[in-house]
Parts: sequence; C-alpha cells; structure tokens
Amino acid sequence: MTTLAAEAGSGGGAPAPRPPVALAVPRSLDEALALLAQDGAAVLGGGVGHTLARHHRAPDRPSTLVPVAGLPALAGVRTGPDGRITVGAATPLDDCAKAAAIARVWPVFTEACGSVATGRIRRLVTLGGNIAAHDDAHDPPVALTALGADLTVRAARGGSRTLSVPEALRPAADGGLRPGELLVAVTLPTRPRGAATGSAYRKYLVRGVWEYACVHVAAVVGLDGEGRATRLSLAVGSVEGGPVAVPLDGLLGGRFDADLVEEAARAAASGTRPYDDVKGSAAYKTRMIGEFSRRALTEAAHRARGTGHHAGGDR
Amino acid sequence: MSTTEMPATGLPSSALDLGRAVLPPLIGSPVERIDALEKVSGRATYAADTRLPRMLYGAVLRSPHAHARVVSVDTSRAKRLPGVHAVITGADTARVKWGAFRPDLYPLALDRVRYIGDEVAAVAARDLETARRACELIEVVYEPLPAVLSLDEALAEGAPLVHDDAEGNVAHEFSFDRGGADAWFERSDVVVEGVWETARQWHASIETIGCTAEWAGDRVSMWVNTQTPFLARQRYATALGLPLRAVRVVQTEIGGGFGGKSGDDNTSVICAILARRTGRPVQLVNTREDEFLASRPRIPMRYRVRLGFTASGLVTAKDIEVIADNGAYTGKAQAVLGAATVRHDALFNYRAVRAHSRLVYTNLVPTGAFRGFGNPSADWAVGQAWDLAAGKLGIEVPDLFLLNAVESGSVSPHNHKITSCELKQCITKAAEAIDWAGKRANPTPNRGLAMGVSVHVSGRRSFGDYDGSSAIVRLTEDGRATVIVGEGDIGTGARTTLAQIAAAELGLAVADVSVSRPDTDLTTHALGALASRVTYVAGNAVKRAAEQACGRLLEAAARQLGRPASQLWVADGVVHGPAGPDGGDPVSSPVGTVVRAELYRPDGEPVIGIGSFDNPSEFPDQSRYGNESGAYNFAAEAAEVEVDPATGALTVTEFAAVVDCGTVLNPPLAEGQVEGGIAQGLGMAVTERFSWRDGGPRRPNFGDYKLPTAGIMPRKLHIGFADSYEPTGPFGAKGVGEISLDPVPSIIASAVADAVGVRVHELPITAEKVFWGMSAQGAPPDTADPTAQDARSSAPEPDAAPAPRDPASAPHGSASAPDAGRGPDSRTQEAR
Repeated sequence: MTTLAAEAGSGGGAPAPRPPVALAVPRSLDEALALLAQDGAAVLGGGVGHTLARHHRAPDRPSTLVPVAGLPALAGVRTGPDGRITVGAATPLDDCAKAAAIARVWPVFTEACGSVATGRIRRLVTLGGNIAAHDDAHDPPVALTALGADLTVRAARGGSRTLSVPEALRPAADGGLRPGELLVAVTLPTRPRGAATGSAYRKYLVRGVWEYACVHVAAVVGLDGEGRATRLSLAVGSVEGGPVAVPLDGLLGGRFDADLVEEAARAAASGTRPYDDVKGSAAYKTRMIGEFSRRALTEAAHRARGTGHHAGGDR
Repeated sequence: MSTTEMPATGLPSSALDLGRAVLPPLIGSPVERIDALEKVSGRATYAADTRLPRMLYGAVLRSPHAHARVVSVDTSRAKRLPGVHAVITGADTARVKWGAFRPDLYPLALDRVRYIGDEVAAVAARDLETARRACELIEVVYEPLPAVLSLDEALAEGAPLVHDDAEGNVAHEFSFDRGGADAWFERSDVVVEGVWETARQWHASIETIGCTAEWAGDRVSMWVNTQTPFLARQRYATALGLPLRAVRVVQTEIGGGFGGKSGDDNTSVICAILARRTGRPVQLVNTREDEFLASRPRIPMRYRVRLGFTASGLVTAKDIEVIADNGAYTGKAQAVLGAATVRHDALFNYRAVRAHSRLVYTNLVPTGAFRGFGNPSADWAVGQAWDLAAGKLGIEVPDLFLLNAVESGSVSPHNHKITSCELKQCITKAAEAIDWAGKRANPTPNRGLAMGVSVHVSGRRSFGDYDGSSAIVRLTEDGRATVIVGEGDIGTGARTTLAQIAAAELGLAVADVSVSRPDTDLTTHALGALASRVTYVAGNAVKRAAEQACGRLLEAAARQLGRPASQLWVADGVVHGPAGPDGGDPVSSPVGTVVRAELYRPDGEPVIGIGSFDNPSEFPDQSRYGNESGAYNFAAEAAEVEVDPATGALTVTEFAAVVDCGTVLNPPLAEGQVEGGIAQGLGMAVTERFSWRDGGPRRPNFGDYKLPTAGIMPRKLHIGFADSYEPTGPFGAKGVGEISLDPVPSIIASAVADAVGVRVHELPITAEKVFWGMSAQGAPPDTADPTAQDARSSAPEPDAAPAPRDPASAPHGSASAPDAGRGPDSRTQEAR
C-alpha cells in the first residue's frame, strides 16, 4: 500500500492503534447468519474482501470477520428433482468450471467460470464471492444474467429471498443485497423442452490470460424446428451498470441468420455504455461489444443446432 | 508454445584455421546453475529475507502531486503512534543532492515535490502495519504548482521548470554530424522519414527493490538487492553525506534486475537514514505500488528519423533527432540517451550520421536504465525507417540488411571498433529458420513477416574511464577453488558461468568451485551487472585469476613432484605429470594435497591467483565519440505475426532469433537470456502500459500493467546462435543478456504493417491502435487525413514506387492516415 494523500484528520492526542479484529468461525449457516446480523460483522471468503478492497468499497474496519467458505450448506453442485441445477455459493469457481452436469446444459456458465483469472485463483475464489464482490468486470455474473439464474439470499431475520443477478447488484435500498444478507445458492434454469438451445461465453483479452477482459459477452440462443429464434439472451459485462442484459425481444420469432446476428450485435453495442480504461477506449470497446456479441451468438446458435465444435454442443 | 531449438554452435571444426584456441570440454556444456537448489528450495536469501536482531520495518510517504511546494510536514501524530521509532523528513537528511551523472535528487523532499511518488517522509516502526499506519498520520500541506506532464508541455515556450537550474527543462543535450549528412542526403536516391515514440516500461522484477541497514559506530552496512554494489556504495555515500569508507554494501540474492536495481532510487538511502535515527537495523522493501511509482522505468523517447539510400540500396546517411523523457530526476538517463543515439550506428555502413539529442525533465516518474539501455528505443525507431526503406527500394528486408551490414574489422562513425561480427550469418540463419523465402512465396492473409537486427556492447565505459573487473581465485587445502569477485548475479546465472570459466581453467569440476557474493568490504572491486558485461569483463578477470592460481599450483607441484611445471597438468582435481627422464613412473597428487604441502612448510604460501581485466575500450567524449566496448554482440530476429482484422489483436505465430555472442559458454543459460529478452520485448511492443491521470498511473499495479505471459509468446520459437569467436573474450565469449530484446518492438510493428498495412508509430502496439488504423484505411478519401502522403514527395527520386502496403511513410510519419499512433487510444496513453 502506498498512501498518496495524508487522509488522517487533525486533532491532538496519541492516535489509537487499530483495534484487533475478531474471527468468528460459524459451524452452521444459521450461526453464520446470526453472526452477520451483528454490527461490524463482515463476510470473509471467496475473495470478496480482496475485491472490495481493490475498489475501496471494503466495509469500514469490520470488528468481526465471519468466514463462510467452509460451510457445508453452501457447498457443491446439485441437480434438483425438477432438473434445475443449484450451485452452492461457496463452491469454488474451478469446481463450477469442471462440473459436467453444468457443461452439458449451460456451457456459457462453464466457460465464464473457467475463464476467470488463473487455476490457482479459481480454486480459491467461490461463486458467491465472485457475485457478491459486485464487480462488473467479473465473468460468472454476466453468464448468469444471460441465463436468468436465480440467486437465493438469506438473512437471520426475514428468511430467504430470490433475486436475479441484476436485482442483487442494485443498491440495498432498491432491493439489492442488504447488509447481513448472505448469498447462499445460485439456481440455473432448465433448458426448455422442444427447443434447441445453445449458449456461449466470449471474452476479449489483451494478453490472453489472467486479466480483466476488454469486453465479455454471454449469449443464449433457442431455435425452433424452422430455425426461428425462440430465445435470444445477451448479457454484457464491464459496462456501466453491468452486467447489462440487452433487450432483444423484438427479434424473437425471426429467422436466426447473419442479419439477425448483426441486428442483435448492433443492439448490444448501442445499448451498453463501456468506459475508458487501460484495456481500451469506450469507442473501441463499443465496437468490440458488437464483434464479441456476434461471436457469442453465432457459437451459441452452432451449439443449439448441434454443430458446435466446442464441448457442450448439444440439443 | 512449441519451441524448436536450433542447436547451439558446437566447437569449431577447424579451430586452428580460425585462430581460435581449442576449447576445454566444460566450455559450451549445459552446466546446471550452482544456485539452483537453494533457489527452488526457498533457501536463497532475497532482500526481504534478511533478518537482523531488533530489526524495524520502514515505510515511505509519497507525494500525491506531480508538482507542488511542500508548505509544512507535521509528523507529531505519527510519532505518537505506539510502535513507531522514527519519523523522518527532508530536514533529517544531509540535504545533499545525488545522482549518477547529474546530481538532482534529495533523499527526501526538502521543499518541493516533482512527481507523483516523490519521497516526502518515512517511518520506522516495530512492524509494517504500524509503519504504514504512521505514514497515514503524517500531515503534509502542499501548494500545488503547474506541472509539465509530457515532452511537449516541458518543451513549450515559458513552460514551468522542473528544476530551476535546467533552462527550458533540458537536463542534457548533445549533437554531432559525422561524415557530412547533408551532402550524403543530396546524393541519395531514396529518402525515408518518420517519427516514432516509445513509452515507459517497468522492469517489474518479481522481487521489488529492498534494503536492510545497520549501523556500527560511524559505519553503515547495507544488505541490498543491487546489481551494482560498488557503484551503489559510491552514490549512497554521497546521498548520506558520508565518506566512501563509511558505507559497506552487501549484495543479497536478487529476484530480477533488468537495470532497475542499479542504485538510482532513494529506497536504500532512506533505509540507512532510518537505521541511524533509530539506532536499530531497519528493513525497507518497496511495495509493488512503490515500485511502479518511484523506480526508474525505461525512458520514453521520441525519434524523428531520416535515412538516405542509393537506388541500389546502399545506405548513405542517417539523421535523427531524439527527445527523451527524463522524468523528474536524472539517474542514468543521460547515459541511456547516449547509447540510444549512437550504438545502432555500429550495425550498418553509414557514410554519414547526424544526431541531436535532448534529455527533458518532466513532472513524471523518473526514468533510467532498463535492459537494452536505449537500444530498444533506437532499434524501434530506426528499424521502422529501414523497413520503410526496404519497401520503397523494393528490396526484401534481409537482403537490404545483408547489403549494408558491418563485418569484423568495421569501424563505426563513432569509432566503435568491431572485432568479431557474425551479423550477416545471423541474418541469413534467422531468415532460414523462419523460412522467409517460403513464406514470401506463399503469403497468408492477415499474416505479415518482418526482420530486425541489433548490436549491443559487452560492457560499456560509462562511469569514468574504467570498465573493469578484478577477481581472486583461491585454491583450498581440500582441493576446491573459491572465486572472490565483486560482480554478483541478478538471476542470469552469471555466477554459474564464472564458476564454469574458473573450473575450465583450473581443471576442476564445477561442483568444486564456489563463487562469492559481492561485499564491498571483502570482495574485489567491480562495476557490477550492467551493459551485458559480466561474462565478458568479469569472465576475463576470473579466467586470468584462475590462470595465475593454476600456474602457482603447478609451480608448487613441480617442487613437490620433481617434474618441471611446464610438463604438469590438472585433470579432475588431480595434478598429473609424466614419467621422469630416468624412467620413473608418471606422477600425480591431488590438488588439495599440493596446496596443503605448499602452505605447510617454512615460509609457505597460500595458492592464490589474482586477475584483472579492463574493457579494451575508450571513454566516449561529450559528443559520444569513442569505442565504448571491447566487443560487440549482434542479433537478427524475424517474426511472423497474424492480425485479427475484426479486433486488431495480434498473435506472433513464429519467431526466430539468432544471436552472435561469441562462444556460447552455457547453452541453456544463453537460451534463457534470449527467450526472456524476447518476452520482455513483446511486453514493450504489445502489452505493457498504464492508463494515466494527472501525471501518475491510474492504478499502479499488475491489474492494469500487463506483463507478458506464456499466452503471448510466439506459437513457434526458434533460438539459435551464430558460429562465432571473440578473440578478446573469455574462451571467445561476448555478452548475451540484453540483445534479444532490442529489435522486438520494431519487428512486431513491421510485421503488423506487412500483415494489414497499418504502421503504429507509438508503443505499445495495442490492438486498438491497429484497429483504428484499419478503420481509417477503409474510410472514404475525403475523410482521410489530408496530410497523408508518401515520403516520396520529399525524396529526390520522383518516380520511386510507393510502398504498396504501407501508406504510412509520410514526411512526418505519425501524421499518415492509417496511423494508429494517433488514434483515440494513443492520446490517453501517455500522461495526459
């Protein structure tokens, strides 16, 4: 850390050393929620704190840290009786990327989880931590936005709520994740019967590995027997208010061809507001959002038709 | 990445014909690093691993302003924080300016800060957290001053001065015209011209700069990860206001240097002051942010280059104007600018060269030495002009290079005397390795081909009229050898190479040779690891010391064994001699036995050899005339690059590097240097940059700053070495540490131009710049930049064909249409 500005206030007296921070290890989810309901408590685990600190959004000197990554209730990938896949919030991203059950159904999620940082980091950070860190440059939330996944959050008081990714990432006052609430699970939708569905995640990296993307796009495409689009979902990350779901309902029912892809890509480019940073100017990123939307949609449609050349091509 | 290794040069087939010594078998063999085990097992002691009893930890408070007056510094709250032992400011220093060439840096700011990161105050405390917390409690009142945040701002009429004594913000300036450039340009058939600019590049060593200091009476010992212990000692003594004798510098293990640890920054000086103030050992290690804000990155340079050629492709004249961004303090930048102005003139047979170079102060991070030492900037700018010329002349680049390349015996316009030179062999081998002819015959869409060449020194006479090294080789009573030398190893394997040289000379196994670490109190004097000099300069000193030690051993053995010394030899740690003239058996005695017997006698003596070698070079004058090194190494590198037309992103599909470093002493170590240089060159060329705000990097960390990874290395990589022998080198060897980096940016830029017709004029060559360049190509003519025109218009040959795929060769190259250097991206790139 380098302190660029002296931020200390003035005033006499010996400055107090920082008070020690307590580490309270819960044995159960209920215990964790009870601890988190107390003033000054903050979640530890899954890389949340690290990311928040990077964005200077860390809680102001928490007095108690509550590690949650080891809770059995938050672990693992399960397929429910209704066929929906639920991923515990403490599941490491590497496990998400390696879950065959997910890859068979939603390769967009597999690819997003597998594209995060490096293997060492993917083995450490969790899905819940990745989402709760509230970083529009993160990959899994983009895929989950395109999929329309359900997030289950719980608090000691008030039971549980179900939110979409964009809802969860709103300010608490607008219905987003509230202090004391813990993201416990992510539930993926089932694939609709009777329609060919494919999905794909495309990420544009300057260096090719271990970096935040210049642009990243998730696409889900459903096609009927005539090749018409029955589902078109496109989500874009690293843009203002991201991840942003691009509204494409106007294109539904149309034939999925190059013109439709072009229109969807144009909608993605014009409907999102990237920002200037070291990865590129906003003007360039807008052009790349169009390009990578094209690529993601095209690959998703390939997979829907069962002609994809990547793992996960299916029907 | 699949690496195809071209075999290193074997022993010359006809050594006598080439006037070469027959080389011992150890030379050219893949000896394992002598420090491999301690490094991989974590036992190596790097700067931050030093532990002294009662040691405190330091932290530094830095300026948040690019330029400001320091109105007041209140340290009272910080001092009252429990656990804090000292808080120091400029008032606690000797108030002496220091610097390698132009002393302009205070250890801590006195009344002005000149860049974001300038050191203002420092703390020593019982632990790091307390030290950093105390920094937050220091209250500084600044009065911000107008700042100059670019070369153009610094050179503008009436610009604010970074230092009051540097008029026009010019820190250093020189010029020359050797051979009469104007006359040769008039006689030229083809002239090319352009402007090219480089950016700051950080060393980004895996280990940051660090020091542990401890005082005993009036002397301070500093354990530092410096590349240059003896030069650093001199500068630290100045900065601390102490006589040289009061400072001892001990080199720790070094986790990468690349020029960044050559003692131009304040970290060690502050550490020593904290230690004196507290009366306890203090350790101060840069954080990664400290390193980005306040180390000494590569100097951004802007070149205007003009080259003249005859119609048949012979180079006539070169004219360059160089403006270099010194940042706020000078360090070694003025020496770097010297190399960046003259060195590359030892590549081609220029009839005339003219240059005007200025080093310009800005309120930005100070710059300094970085692997390549100005060469990569020069090779990028001048290499681009050569590539343009090849296009205009209609000659393939390798052929144009071969037509003009220097040879053994050449003398550059600056009196650089080329002894061994296999540049032409490098060019030919690199072209063969990448199948230049085949690829030209069967072009692939969006793929481009390019070649670059470079020359580097093996040591450089920079720091006064001495570029030498000295060594002691002591044969031990147990039959081993200890090499005592002041050079050190920054991770390149230099100590291994020196052990190999000593072992080969002595007839011992490498495992029986140990090499000391530099300690200015104990080891011999040496300049350190810079300018690709250790193998050549220290190698010669060690070889001479070993030779003398071996001679003394044989003299002792001669007395002990009753055979003349001239008939004795050492093999596998045993002295051998022939049968006696009277028919006795052949004789032998282990080295340790001979050494002990020599010592254990009346008036006995230890068996020690000393050796010294001063680079047979000249100290260049103020206009940079003088043979800066006794030996020059050369390289030719070629690349094939593919550009994604939808994004502008590039992939290096194939890369071939052929290096002339004389005899390859240790092939894996040499290949490692070449490979690493290519990686670092790709970083400079493609990925390494910051987004800037108000004169500082927006986020000074690896999240923004993209070091190259395996992911951007060439898909296919060929590394080879020229069959070469340097008569003044140890066993024929020359330096190899830097040269492979030098031509990389130019090669990538030329390959992109060849692939898609876009020539980027400002590093790095980001996908975005290439993308906008391609977009501009497709733009309707009326919206294209009206200043875009081919260099032909200013060249005296009106009927020369325009370069077909490169419309960027305008009189001011950076103003041509498909010139992504001026795209939206580039304007945000440097300090605006």
